[in-house]
Amino acid sequence: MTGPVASAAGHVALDKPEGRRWRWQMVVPAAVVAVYLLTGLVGESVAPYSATDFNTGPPLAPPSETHLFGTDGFGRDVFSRVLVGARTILLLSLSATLLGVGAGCALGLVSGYRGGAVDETVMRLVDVLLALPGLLLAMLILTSLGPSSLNLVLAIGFVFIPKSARIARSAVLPLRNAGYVEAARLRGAGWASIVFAELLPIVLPQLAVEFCLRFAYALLLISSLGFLGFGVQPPTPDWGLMISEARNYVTIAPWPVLFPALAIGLLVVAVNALADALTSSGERRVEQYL
Amino acid sequence: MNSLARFVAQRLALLVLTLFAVSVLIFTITQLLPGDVATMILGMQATPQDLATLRTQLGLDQPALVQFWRWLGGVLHGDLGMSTRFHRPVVEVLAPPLEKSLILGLAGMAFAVPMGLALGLLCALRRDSLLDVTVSSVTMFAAAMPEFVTGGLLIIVFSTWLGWLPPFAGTGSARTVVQSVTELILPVLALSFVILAYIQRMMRASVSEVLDSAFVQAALLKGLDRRRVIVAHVLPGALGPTLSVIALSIGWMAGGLVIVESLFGYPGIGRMLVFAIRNRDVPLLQAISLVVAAVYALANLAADVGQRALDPRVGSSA
Repeated sequence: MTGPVASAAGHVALDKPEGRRWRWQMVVPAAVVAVYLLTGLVGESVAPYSATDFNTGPPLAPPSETHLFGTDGFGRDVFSRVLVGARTILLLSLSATLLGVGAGCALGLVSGYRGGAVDETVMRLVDVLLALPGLLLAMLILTSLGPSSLNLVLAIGFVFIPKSARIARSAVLPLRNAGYVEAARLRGAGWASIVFAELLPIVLPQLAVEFCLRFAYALLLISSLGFLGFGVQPPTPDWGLMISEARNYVTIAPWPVLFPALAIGLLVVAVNALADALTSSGERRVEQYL
Repeated sequence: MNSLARFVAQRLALLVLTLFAVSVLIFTITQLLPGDVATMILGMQATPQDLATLRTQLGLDQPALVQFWRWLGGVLHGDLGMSTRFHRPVVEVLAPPLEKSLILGLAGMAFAVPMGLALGLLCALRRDSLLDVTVSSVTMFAAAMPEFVTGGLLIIVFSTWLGWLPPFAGTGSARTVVQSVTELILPVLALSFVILAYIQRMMRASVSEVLDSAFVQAALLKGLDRRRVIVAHVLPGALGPTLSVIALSIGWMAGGLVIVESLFGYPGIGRMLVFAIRNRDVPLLQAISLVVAAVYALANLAADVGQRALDPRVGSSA
């Protein structure tokens, strides 16, 4: 009864926590993100009130059965606004990340593979763009383009280009003279075909992690810009904007600040935890993110 | 030491080049701003002649390149132009908020850097202990949080619910020194949360790495005092990489200041930036952007020099 069974049980006991920990780290944040995505899809139709209607109840009513998250200074239903706001931020962040990481990675791959003057020029430009903090650069661009959702996506995308280009470039540098690249060159393949058909598939996993991190950063940037009034314009419900609108009466009525803040906080944490589980070496992100 | 001096000189030259390029960038972006500066200054009732005279006075009728050289020349002489909104020299307008932001920023760094280093070291020395797991998971979440969310939650807890700390800062309502210090607590916390988290994570990672390295293991096995090994071998090796994160934090803080100052109504350079953008005060905007870029570049330079001084291997191949 003791021998083999005990050792088998021992194996199970040894293996299980390892596997389970990995799964939890992945599953919990993924589930949270999925809930957010779902809210983004159906939020508007399940919201009990219109997100933009004034006087759905008395202004600054505390959370109750009729208004789960209370109402804001205009009597708008905070719960409905939080639900509908999910789509705004998810859509904007996703498109900005796709644009920025896509363009940046393409630039970095080509620059890293071609080397020489192309690489030198691109990397110096990247240095200049990185000399301004991301939020400041985004604000400057948005000011000259004017505030709109499209411009917000363009500005954030542009801010993401330099870092993504750097990441993609450093991923591709060690592969420049790999055997299969050499083979493709001898076959007579052009640089574009080598970069996108030979190199891109190999570095894709690294770029996926970069995408996840940038997405988390996009959420942070876009909600911050919304908070500052440079992002989504009223009356579109935006979590950052909701917080700045309700900020002045936070000591009387904290709920219009509290619930959007929790909504942003939980989402950003979940996306980061997901990126962390994907990288598995959490510490490497430190420098990429700042 | 000679090579270190040459390295600093090289990097300083690079810094000047970068700042020049950044000023081109800033000038280009601000040139694209909609709205006419002359109309902005004189108002809608101004006659066309007045507008034309003012444009000539300000050099706005000149080509962009000429305007840029004139602006850059002014900057090099310490003349940042006239604020179109305050009708006073930008240098004068900028001095008080700059001082305010320095206080906030330095207080944030003074809190975040030692705390981050200490917590990182502690967590690395007791890896996987309860302390490590708790601190490291908190900082993982903190590192992802936008400042206005952290700040908003802090205000709700400490001002609305507990009533311990004021929800605004630097608005001039503080009468005593104690009051002006207490009103800084929440903004400083909101500002330094992200940075503290990054420094802790980097410090933990680099101390762990050095602890696992062969020379530290050898020193420990040789029977050297653990505390001495940590102070003499582990810390210098681990501080280098952490320094660069601290430098990056300063750049991060520039963005953080804009948010935190807006949240707390704190009259610093970040709120001035938002004001300059809203009111299309181009000279003010250019000056603030340039100051931020310069601080950021200097911080990076300091980190590189520090890293090099701590570890002579870094950059020796270049």
